[in-house]
Amino acid sequence: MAKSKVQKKIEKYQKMSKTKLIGTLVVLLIAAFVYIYTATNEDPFTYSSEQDAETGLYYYHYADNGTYYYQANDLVGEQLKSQLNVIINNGFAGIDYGDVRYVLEDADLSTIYAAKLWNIYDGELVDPIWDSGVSWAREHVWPNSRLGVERVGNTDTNQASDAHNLRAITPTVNSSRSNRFYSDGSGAATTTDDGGYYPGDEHKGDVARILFYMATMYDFLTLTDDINVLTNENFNYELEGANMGRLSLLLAWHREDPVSEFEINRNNVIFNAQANRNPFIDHPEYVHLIWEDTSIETLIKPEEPIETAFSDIWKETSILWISIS
Amino acid sequence: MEGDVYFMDQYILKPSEYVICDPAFILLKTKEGDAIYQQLIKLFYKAPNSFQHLVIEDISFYMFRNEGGDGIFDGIGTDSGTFVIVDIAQIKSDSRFRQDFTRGKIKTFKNNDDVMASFEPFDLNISNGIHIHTE
Repeated sequence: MAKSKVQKKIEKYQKMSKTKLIGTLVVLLIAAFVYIYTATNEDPFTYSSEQDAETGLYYYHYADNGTYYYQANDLVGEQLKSQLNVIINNGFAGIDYGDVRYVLEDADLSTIYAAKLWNIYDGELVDPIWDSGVSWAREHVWPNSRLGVERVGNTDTNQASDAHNLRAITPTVNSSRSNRFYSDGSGAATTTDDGGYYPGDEHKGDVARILFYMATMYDFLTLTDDINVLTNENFNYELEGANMGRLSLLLAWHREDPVSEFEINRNNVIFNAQANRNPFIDHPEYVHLIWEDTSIETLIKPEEPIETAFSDIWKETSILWISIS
Repeated sequence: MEGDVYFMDQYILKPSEYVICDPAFILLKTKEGDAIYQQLIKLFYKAPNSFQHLVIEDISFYMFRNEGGDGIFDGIGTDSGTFVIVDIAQIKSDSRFRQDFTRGKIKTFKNNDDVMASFEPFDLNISNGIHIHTE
């Protein structure tokens, strides 16, 4: 029996519904796939360096299960510092002082000016290829005379060859800074009258986070505010002289000059080279927990008020009702 | 503060006692010490690949740089990337200079006859057998 027009129409709509249903399911599957792929391939080291607008404190972020900093979750103070020491020493594959030059050729590349190294303190942009110290030299941010180390030659691997502590530097600036501790200032980098060195507005947060790393990686290194200790050079190259500062300034600079793209990129390059990371670039909030007696609760980001669709509708309706009235 | 600069590949060091060290170490970081130090590096970096004889306030500095910046090379340390040879008699009792020559990564030597200090980038050789390889 021939199908009626109505029956044909019904079948046609049924087919369309099936088609639409299948199409919707396909879209949902693709969306689910994209979500899962993105979530599982997200860089596990990239955490937000979001700060509280008033205090400059960095908000706390828990590390996901199984990721690099997971064992540091919920720890504060000396316990956190000790655990980070374990984490960043685990699997660490130090590079010798000679080879570090070639790591810096990549690590210190400017993220703004392609294929140029961004020298520390003066911000000079130079060609990255090592040219025997003409365009750039190796700078120990924590000076090598304050590392308590016996030897620092091109074949040596020790705390003085740690790439996180080494930056490309303009040779004249290297000589000017020498082994001065960091002291107060503003604007461009310069020596200070108390025997110290101001690293420059654009570099002060970077040097702070490098020094926090060194004091964590090598627990015999000490950060201090004691000016008598910092100006005493009688113990250069000895463990008794293994200190740097000034701690209170470093803590302030860490907030004032936030983590940058340059530092994040550098951290990743050095991780690939020597298999460890600077935790204070990945988790700048750890600085408050270790050196400023801050609690995790203080660093939890406040929840923003939730504006529901219902409350929006209610607001709109109220406004409309009032205007009609 | 001015200074005189001489360029040669080698210099004769007359009989005396000398110290080889980082100039940033031997010069104190006082206002007066730093004035000499900053003048020294200002003059040196006009020709940083050479071995220079710099004279500031009648004090002779034989100065050269190493190949790559900070380090400790053959027992002598530097945070400035440079080294100097200085006659101790010229800086003894001078409050701008460190007076303890027994501490730190420095080297002292005494010669009763003339010795020759020569430089081949970036190594120092002294005819009394002292050799500093910095590359």
